[in-house]
Amino acid sequence: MVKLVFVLVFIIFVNLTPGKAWETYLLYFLYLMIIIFTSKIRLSDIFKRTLISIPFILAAIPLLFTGQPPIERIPLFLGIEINISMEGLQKFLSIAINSILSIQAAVLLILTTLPPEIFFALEKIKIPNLFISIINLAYHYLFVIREEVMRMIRARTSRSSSIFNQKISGGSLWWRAKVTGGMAGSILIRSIERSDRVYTAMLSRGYNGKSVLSIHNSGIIKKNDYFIMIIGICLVLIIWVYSLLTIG
Amino acid sequence: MPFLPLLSPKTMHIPDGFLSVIVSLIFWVMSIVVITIALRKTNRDLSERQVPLMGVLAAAIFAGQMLNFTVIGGTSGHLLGAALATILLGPWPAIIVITSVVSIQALVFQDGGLIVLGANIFNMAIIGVLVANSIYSITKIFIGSKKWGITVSGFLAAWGSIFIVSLSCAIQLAISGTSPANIVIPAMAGIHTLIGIGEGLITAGAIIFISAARKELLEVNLSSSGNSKGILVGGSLIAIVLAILSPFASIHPDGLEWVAEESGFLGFAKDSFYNIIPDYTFPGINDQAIATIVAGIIGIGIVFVVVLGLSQRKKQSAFDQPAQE
Repeated sequence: MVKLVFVLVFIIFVNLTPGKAWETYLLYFLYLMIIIFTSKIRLSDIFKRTLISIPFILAAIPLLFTGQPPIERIPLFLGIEINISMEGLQKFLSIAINSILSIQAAVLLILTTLPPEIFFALEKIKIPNLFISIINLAYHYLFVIREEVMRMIRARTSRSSSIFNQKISGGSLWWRAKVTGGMAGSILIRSIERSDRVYTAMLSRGYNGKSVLSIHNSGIIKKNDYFIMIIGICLVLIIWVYSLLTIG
Repeated sequence: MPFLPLLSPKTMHIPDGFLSVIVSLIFWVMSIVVITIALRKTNRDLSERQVPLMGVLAAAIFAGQMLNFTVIGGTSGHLLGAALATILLGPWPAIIVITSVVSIQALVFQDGGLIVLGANIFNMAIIGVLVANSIYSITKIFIGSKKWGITVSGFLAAWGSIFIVSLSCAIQLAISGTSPANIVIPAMAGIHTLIGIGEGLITAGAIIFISAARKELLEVNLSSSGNSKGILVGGSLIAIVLAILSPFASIHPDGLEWVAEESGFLGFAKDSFYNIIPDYTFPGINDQAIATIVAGIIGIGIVFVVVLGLSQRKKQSAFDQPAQE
């Protein structure tokens, strides 16, 4: 729970940091790096996982071209010139850095915490129990059903219905969609049937409609942990105030 | 085309850093209110056996999102599942199921940020489900008696939900000042017109299959008490307002910003962005610096292509790791 709250606070303040506060970004980055090193995670793991969300940065690219002046004309190769608004560029970079820092913090949380512990932390911050039970169950069955889907996809591939070329694939667009839709439909029906069996199994193990959380010992919060959390949050706050002071 | 890599349903998952904190918080509050209502409704209407049903279905929809088929070379149709869940379960349980899916994606797989999770839930689980529900129920009244009626309704519901969700996603980005409204709205709408077709076709295919295998599942929804007139009207209103607002906003991007500023939406988060000294002339920039920037941009472009290829694989391996634990 300490970790979850800390990461949330960290991300909020990174996002509240005004744009162009380059030194502050560096401080946040250093801070994250210190945590990463003490947590004994390989850096490469963090960066690999950070890459996942990078394509979304494209959504901010138009800022480069549509921001307010001053506009710089930038010659590309072959004599083509593009107009890039410097203000847009700064905004773009700020957004990109914000996003990367936030994602790294979240990755750090995931890599050091088991999903059940995260769900337990959610319970601690007063998310409705019913909802957490559903998430928890969904997480557990995710891998079972994922295997089922993978088997289906393999079966479909071996019957070559996924190729674009119609002569080889053996069917029109609508046919291919119907095949895939049939897969989706059968997954859903199987899951509904499976949930019946899960329910009877749960009943026979004493389920009473309340919580199905597996409680971890790590969920118990020591006083010491609160202390660490408060210190950590204070550090984030200091960096944030620094950014406000330097930007003005 | 810079938007080509966005041709995947992952576009809908906004990461942290792209929405201003105030916008994120507003959508958190709205989502929490709706989810609380949904939890109460499902709790009252349905027995405790709904917990495993919704849990397992959330897992199924999550896993089902891996299903895709090629539409035209390079682009593929994916399943997002909001419409399918609505059709099978009815609106309130569907909201909870999709919320679970989106939450797990954010909490465990970093698909979508944590602070913006509220906005993501609002888009996909709430708007997506309500719009799908309205379209499905209303079209069913007109063509439901025909043999192909539910299939077409399913297609329309799926397409409509994707389209409207993309609009609301684009508007959130525009309000936050992340992307200019006159670019992001048409771009998102255009891409999701295509993605919506894929989603619609798969949904239609799934309905055909389900009506052949377990027809009674399709009839549960409309008779369930959860589907009141209130949500029907609500969903339709959301769809209509967003559909009308977006073209307006994209023609007058300043209008949207003006509204945002007037209502104190962005207050200080935006001030820092927009108070950039107008006559500042970057003395440090000479040809070499410009060259570096261009090189950087081209580099970014190359990295994107590589990342795009990798991210598909990365996603798979990110999926695999916890499975082995």
